[in-house]
Amino acid sequence: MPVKEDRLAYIYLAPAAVWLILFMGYPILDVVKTSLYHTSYKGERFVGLENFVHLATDDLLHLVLKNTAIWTLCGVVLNVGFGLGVGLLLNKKTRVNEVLRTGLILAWSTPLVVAAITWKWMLNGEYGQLNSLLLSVHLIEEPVQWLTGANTAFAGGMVARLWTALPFTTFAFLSALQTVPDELYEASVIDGASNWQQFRHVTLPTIRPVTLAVLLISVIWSFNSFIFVYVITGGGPANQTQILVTEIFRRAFGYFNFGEASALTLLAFGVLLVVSLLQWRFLYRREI
Amino acid sequence: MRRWRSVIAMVFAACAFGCTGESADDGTTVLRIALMGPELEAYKSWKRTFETEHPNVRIETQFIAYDQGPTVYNAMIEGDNLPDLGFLFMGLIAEYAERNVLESLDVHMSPEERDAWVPIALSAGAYRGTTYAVPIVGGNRTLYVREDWMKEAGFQEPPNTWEQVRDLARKMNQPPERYGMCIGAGRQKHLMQEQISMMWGFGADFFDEDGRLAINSSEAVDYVSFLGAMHTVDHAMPPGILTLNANECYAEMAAGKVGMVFSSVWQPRMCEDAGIKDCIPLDIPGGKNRKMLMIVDLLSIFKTSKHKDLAYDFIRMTQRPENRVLIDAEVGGVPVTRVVADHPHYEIPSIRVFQAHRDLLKLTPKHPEWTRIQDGWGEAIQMVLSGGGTAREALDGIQARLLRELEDPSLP
Repeated sequence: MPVKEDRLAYIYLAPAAVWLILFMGYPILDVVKTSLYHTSYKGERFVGLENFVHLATDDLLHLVLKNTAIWTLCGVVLNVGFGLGVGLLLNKKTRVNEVLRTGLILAWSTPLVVAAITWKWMLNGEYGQLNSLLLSVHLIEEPVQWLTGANTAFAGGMVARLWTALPFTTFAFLSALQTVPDELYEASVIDGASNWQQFRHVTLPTIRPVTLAVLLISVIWSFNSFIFVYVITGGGPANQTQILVTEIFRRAFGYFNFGEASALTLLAFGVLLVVSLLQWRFLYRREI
Repeated sequence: MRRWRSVIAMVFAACAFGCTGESADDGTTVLRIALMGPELEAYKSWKRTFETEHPNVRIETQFIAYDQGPTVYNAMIEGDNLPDLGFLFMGLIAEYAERNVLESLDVHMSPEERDAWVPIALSAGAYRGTTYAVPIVGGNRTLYVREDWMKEAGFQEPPNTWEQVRDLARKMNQPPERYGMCIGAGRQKHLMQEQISMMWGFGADFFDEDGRLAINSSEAVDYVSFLGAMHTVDHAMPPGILTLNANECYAEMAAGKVGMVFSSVWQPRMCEDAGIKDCIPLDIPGGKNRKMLMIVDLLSIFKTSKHKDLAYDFIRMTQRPENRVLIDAEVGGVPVTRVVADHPHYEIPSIRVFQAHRDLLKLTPKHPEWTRIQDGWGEAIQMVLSGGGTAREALDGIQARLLRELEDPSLP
């Protein structure tokens, strides 16, 4: 590239670079700095890596990390699995599918907080619509207290999150599925491939780049889905549904412990970075 | 270039004044007040009165949801954007005083003004001998019971002991139509408030006589086991108790679904509005330490305020009986000043019970990390109510965690 064009490119990039440095670079550096301080009502003092050492021996954090792993894993599996399944179902051009696609967009356009509050009401053990529905079709004999037990509360939160995440995943898969050339399916039929073999050897390899991108986004969204846990369970009962992002919020803004909250933020950042790098590495290697 | 500089300076100046509320374009002074809870008629009336009495002052109010209060204030402190005055829970005073964000009111308050407050209500805003806040509204927590159900259960006299309270809850219990008792177990702060009188009755407390953290005392274990058994053995509480907050329990009683709650003077009116005339206050039953919780919401001036005298004028205005009665009657507050207005609110049975038990009133401990202690206590009870552990296991676990995490696990 000639020197003049090179300079021009830097000029064009400068606003974005300044924006990134100011609003992303500086906060990240500040979080790194804060994680090295002990903060409390007494003020702050430099403690080096003490916050990280303390977190390593924190029983509550072990529970939170376990919850986060379960929440993220189940969230990703459900989101990608259902997204692909629904995408396959909606891939055929029919009138019903057009209506269903519109319905998905409606779910997508609902603000997350509104969706979370609505689901909280639906999951209410006494007045919730979910119990009314299940009772009316005799699937349960007495109301289930969805939000009082750790497992049911987690499951309820996951269903709510899936409801809002599914449209994006479905549309991503749907758009990928529509790029699979018909000739490939025709050739596989001539070769005597079954539906499953077509899916396994034609569909999946063709949509692999989109699948991996959706997987990556799902991991990040699921890991960071603060609103559903905060609104629906509040981390309760007794921290049994607390995940890393809600715990960071609780320590920072509930207890003013910005030092530990920053250390936890770096931990979350590190986990997501490693997962993202692994996924991209996998994608890059397979593409070659 | 010079022209650009002046434009930028003007923009910054306009933003600075606009953002901090220092002074409006028309030269009036803006007093910023953060209030928690709903937008009450009393607040609107106070604003009108104050602005009429101070023609060059405009009041700007910001409303914060109760459960978001500490979070919003923490963000304001971090962002150096505190208002002039703020509505604070009494549990926050010690922490904010230690963090040096509250103005001492001792220099503003005359001896007559100090004497006009009910001493225990004013002491809720004091920490280490300094007054940092004055009451905005006060409440107590005692048992309210459905009198008709109580008599139906064979209790001609109200229960005198906590064992009798449990017995009454069992006998009024007819699930799933109605339950004997409800406590707001879904929110840790409410959990602490709603049952602390019962905890004191068992001789348990957050700190021992030497001021050391005593969450897992044998009395506390006995008490939490007792409370847990009311739910897990007697099934005398609604099955969804861990998702209910205190307000929802009050509403359950008004809806005729619960026989007994820890509540305050607003409960009978809430029941009457729903067509139930039998919600009556009970005396606090006897026990090892017979005490009744007093809750005081407070008004503080923040140190960063540039209008401290004016802010104290606002406090002075709220102290006048004709202004106090506005909020007390609207939300069901108990008297926090010695002299109250001549108003029927102060004659209702609940207020009479409150007045008769003034010697039993007790505040929660003043510790800079009270929110954490309170949440820990609530978490232990939630664990027991959800069947996640015994009282001993839950309380030992929380005690150990708090000892590790608190800056100072003793009372200051």
